[in-house]
Amino acid sequence: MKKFTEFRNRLSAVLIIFAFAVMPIAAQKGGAPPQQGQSVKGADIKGRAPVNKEILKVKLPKAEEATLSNGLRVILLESHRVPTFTMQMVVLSGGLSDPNDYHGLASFTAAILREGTQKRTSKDIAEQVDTIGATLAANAGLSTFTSTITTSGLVENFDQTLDIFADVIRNPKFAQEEIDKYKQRQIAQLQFQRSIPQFLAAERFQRAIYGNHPAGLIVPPVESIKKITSADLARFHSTYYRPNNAMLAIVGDVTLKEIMPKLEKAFGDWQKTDVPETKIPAAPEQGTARIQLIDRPGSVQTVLQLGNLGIERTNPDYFAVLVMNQILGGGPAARLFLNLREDKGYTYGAYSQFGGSKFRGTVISSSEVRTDVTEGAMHEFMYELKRIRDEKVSPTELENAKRAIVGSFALSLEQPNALLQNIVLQKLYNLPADYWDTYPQMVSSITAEDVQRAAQRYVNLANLQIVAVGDASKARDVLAKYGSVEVYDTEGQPMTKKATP
Amino acid sequence: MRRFFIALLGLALLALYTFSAPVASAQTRVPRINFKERTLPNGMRVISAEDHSSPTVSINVWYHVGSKDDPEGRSGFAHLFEHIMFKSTRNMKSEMMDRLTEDVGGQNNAFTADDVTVYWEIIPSNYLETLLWAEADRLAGLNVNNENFLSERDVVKEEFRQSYMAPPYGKLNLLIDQKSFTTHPYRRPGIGNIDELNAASLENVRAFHETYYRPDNATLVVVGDFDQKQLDAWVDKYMARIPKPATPLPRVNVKEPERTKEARYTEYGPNVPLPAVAITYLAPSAASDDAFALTVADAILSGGTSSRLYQSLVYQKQLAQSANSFVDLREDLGLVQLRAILASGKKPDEAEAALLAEIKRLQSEPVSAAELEKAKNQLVADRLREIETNNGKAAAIGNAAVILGDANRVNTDLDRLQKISASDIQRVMRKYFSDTNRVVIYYLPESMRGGK
Repeated sequence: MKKFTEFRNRLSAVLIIFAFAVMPIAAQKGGAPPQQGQSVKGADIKGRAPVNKEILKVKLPKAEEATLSNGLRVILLESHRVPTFTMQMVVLSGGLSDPNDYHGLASFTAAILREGTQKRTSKDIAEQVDTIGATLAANAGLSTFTSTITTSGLVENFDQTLDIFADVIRNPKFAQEEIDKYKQRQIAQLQFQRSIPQFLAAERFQRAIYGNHPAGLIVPPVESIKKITSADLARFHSTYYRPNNAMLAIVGDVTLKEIMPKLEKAFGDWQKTDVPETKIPAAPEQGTARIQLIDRPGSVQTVLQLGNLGIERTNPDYFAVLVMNQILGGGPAARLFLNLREDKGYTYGAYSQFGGSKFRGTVISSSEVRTDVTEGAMHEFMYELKRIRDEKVSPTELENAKRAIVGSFALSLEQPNALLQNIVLQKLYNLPADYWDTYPQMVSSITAEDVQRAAQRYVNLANLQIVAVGDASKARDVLAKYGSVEVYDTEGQPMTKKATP
Repeated sequence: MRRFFIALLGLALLALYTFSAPVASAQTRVPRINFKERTLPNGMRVISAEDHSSPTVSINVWYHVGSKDDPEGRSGFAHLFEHIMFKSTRNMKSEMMDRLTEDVGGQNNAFTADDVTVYWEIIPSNYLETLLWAEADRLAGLNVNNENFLSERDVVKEEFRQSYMAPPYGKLNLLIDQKSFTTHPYRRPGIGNIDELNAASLENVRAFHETYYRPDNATLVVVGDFDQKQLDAWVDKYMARIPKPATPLPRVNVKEPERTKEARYTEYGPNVPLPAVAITYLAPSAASDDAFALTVADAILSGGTSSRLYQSLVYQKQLAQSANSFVDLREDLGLVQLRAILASGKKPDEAEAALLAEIKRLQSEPVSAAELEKAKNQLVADRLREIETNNGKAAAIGNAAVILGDANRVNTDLDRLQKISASDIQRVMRKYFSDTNRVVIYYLPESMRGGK
């Protein structure tokens, strides 16, 4: 047993969810004025919600760290609720390391890991994983800077699970037969996805924002899948799957003391090598506003996605954008939902969301609306996007949004996986060690001015990208009120004027 | 159907780093859920389980009324009603449930199934009393106006379009219920249809609430960080005061006749990329003894990538892009469904034959001890994943209490599952599956209409 350097992660302070104390429920605008009219049954329920004003105290559990003899970092978060564990190898290279014209190589490499190793066939792996009731999955996106291999299982099967996990990470075989089968499944999958309207919208939207940046693609091009060879996969694997380019994160009903010798045995002789650095390409500057419509004849709904380039995960505006998004469309209590669904009945849901990586992400508002209210929905979207920029949010909305974010953070403590995710994220982005301890304070410090400033920066109508998927014969004229409309078919090909209705 | 569904624009956000860690699994050491059960004088059943591992609490209210109770000519009504339960009550404005949960970082939602309608909240534990009050309030008295009602009806119609008309195989989900039952109200999909939703009125809402939303038709489940004595006091204060009506509770008593011959349907849909095949068989009630062996058989057929359907249709023969079985067990009776979405260029009859061959194989050869063990391990692991959270535990308890008729089955069913033998599986496969009791549906791209 080699060296065990233990660190204390600083996620240990007692976190006080002070935001709960800000506003008692009964004083909110939904503060329960008894209403007129007769109720169905005569129960004796008093007319105000009973409210507990106590401050909820939350304790963040701490993670431990250690290092294997070959330098592989290990992070463990103990959780003893049920006798299970989850283990994730985070390889610090992903789709952003794909060579030019080999989009999807990282993702292909990850997917093929479980299709056979030097000593296990694809079927052996499936059989053994299922037999112990475990899970095993590997993923890399087209524009991620990581590839992840995740397994979960019963603590009593820890050794067996670890054996399979280490085998697929270290000794994949890249057999031609498996590669051919995978390609066939993948190409069928791509064909299937083209029938999903949200997929078509997302594909077009990402292209609109990112152009030729790797994030401009959401699935690999078929030509690229076809030309990837066993040698390409093996090269990507041997270049990037290295202990000095990875981090092992574990959560579950285990202790560092009992698992370290096992991890050392499974990974300790995994060889280090120099790993080439991957340059993170910056997102391109935003172009002019465009409206792109994908014609999907016979659609009963129009999918609408409207948005702009947003921020990197480490941008100082992160908390302002977080609160702004919460108010605009973060959930069923947000403006888009209340307006388009609860007030107008246009849709089953309307939301906004944002994300960011080491390059700038997006801020998107979206909904699916019935075709004949596309016009009304566009009007309300534009109204809400303007309003969040032009007007300061009210103190009540601001406080509700902040309380919701902080409360939801506290509730995530119920899920140890979510906690581990936070710890990994802090490391991947080199966030301050006390990032999660100060998270509630950072959220609470956001003001109405901060929210407006974030909206003015990242909800930009001058270069807003609008993507719609629906029946062009009905949606085209409606969208034309907001600018000139480019029409595409579901394969992504521009449609000539003549062909468009 | 859920009241709302936040479909992540995941595809658009692939750039985002995600740590999607599926949770873990188990063999035999599934922890027992220690719950306390009592019935209030007004008939409400209350089941509670303390768990202080995080400062959160989950509330489930299970009403024993579902889509099968939709009034005649009002298909989709129970689900529409579920949405209306978030509108104004005697003491709450519309959407106040969202404020009471979302604004404190919690969550709430509801779903309507064939036999039940379930409302749930996950909240920081210091808001438990508030939400018990709110649940009592909407049980005691809805107070919905026509404007509210009409806009929510539009929302449900959009849910219908978004979930069943827009996705490529949405309509197939409707066809399965419509074609699999001839007589039982399960033949009406719970989402309803646009015409019958349009026919629904505010008067229907009032009558439905009065008929089914009563304490003796409700099961309250509370799991998480609370003090039992305090919970009992709050339940007595808010729930126990709701009177029990004197009128009887109507129950569906329709018997679905046995099938006597195979039925075949071919339907077409727009924007369907690849043909699909679905085969259904009638199955017994979720509460029946045979449910255990059918559940194990289902895991053997399609649990994981080593399962028979995946290995045969997807991996070896490359006939299908996906092949699955579902034991869709309900209170009165259920279905076993087999489904395959074909691979490019393959024919539906090839996939049908391959699916049926797997049924035959389960009937004619006993499964191996290793395969049996694997299926059981997967099922136990699934259960462990389910009960990791308070809300998962509450749902498991609610299901046992309401659908299976005995809350204690949340703890005892796994033992019964472990006792299933290879011959039990062979017996149920022979009992419920034959060449003359299946419904076969081909769901094809519009372009294949008129032969080819």
